[in-house]
Amino acid sequence: MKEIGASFVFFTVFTVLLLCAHKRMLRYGKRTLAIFLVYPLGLIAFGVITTLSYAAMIVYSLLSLLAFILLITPVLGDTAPTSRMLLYLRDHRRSSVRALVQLFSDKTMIEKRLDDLVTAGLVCVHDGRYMATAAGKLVAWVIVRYVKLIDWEMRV
Amino acid sequence: MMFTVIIGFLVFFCLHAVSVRFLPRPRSVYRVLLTLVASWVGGVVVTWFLAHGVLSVILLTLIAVCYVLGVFIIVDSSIHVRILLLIAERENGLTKKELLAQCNRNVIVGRRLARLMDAGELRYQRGTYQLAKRTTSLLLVRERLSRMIERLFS
Repeated sequence: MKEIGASFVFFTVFTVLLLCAHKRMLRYGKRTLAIFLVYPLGLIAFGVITTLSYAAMIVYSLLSLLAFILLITPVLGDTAPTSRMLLYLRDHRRSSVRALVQLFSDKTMIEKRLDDLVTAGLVCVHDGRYMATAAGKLVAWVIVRYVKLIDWEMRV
Repeated sequence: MMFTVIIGFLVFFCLHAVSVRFLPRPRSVYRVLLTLVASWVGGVVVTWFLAHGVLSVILLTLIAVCYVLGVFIIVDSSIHVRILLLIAERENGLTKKELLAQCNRNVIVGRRLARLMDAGELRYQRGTYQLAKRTTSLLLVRERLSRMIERLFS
């Protein structure tokens, strides 16, 4: 169990380093996912410095993956729309649909995300038309199968 | 050990898939959370039975949390995913204008409001929306945490 504790300590240290790296990048007006490279570097340091078991390294890797999932949105400077709506309703007690819609713009809500998909190589642009790449089609196929498997209706 | 954890995760996933399928509609956040916890308990029981180790249970829990946050919630509510599916289902793709006609701030906010209403998280009264009493507990804790992380990273 000491080894697992060490995984958590290492993970905490490298998360603080990630936060520092992010703040430093922000000073230069940059937001980048490259700062998440801190975690693989941490894993290498973890392996070199210590003689811990593979299980402890797997725990560290899973914690890093979890942090990546949780932090990707704030690192990119996005806000989850549901969060924003709920917190707005908490602060203002009540609101019309119009006021809630005006919290967002199509530019930040849709166009930015569309650009993200292009950057990620899931979507490409041909003659002004956005089309799914082979990787994008594969991801979409997997998602459609998954949604059918659990019989889920998407919220968006 | 990893083999045991994978078996435990498969049990968790199967229980989750089956329980979500049979969940009565509208599916509230609380009910979905309950099925996830129940599925996790099922996975833990199987893992414990096979391995008798706390480490296996910790690993199973981490994988399950990664699955819920990184797959289930993303597929449920990610706008990126919605846009990708809209584009991928058309062989000739979409122009930005066509995309915005189907997926815009009005549509997204409207769908989220409808879903939150169905789940009993919001109330609609005299043309305005307000938080239902029970929303204040679980959802807002999650949103506060998200906001805290956003502040830390802004």
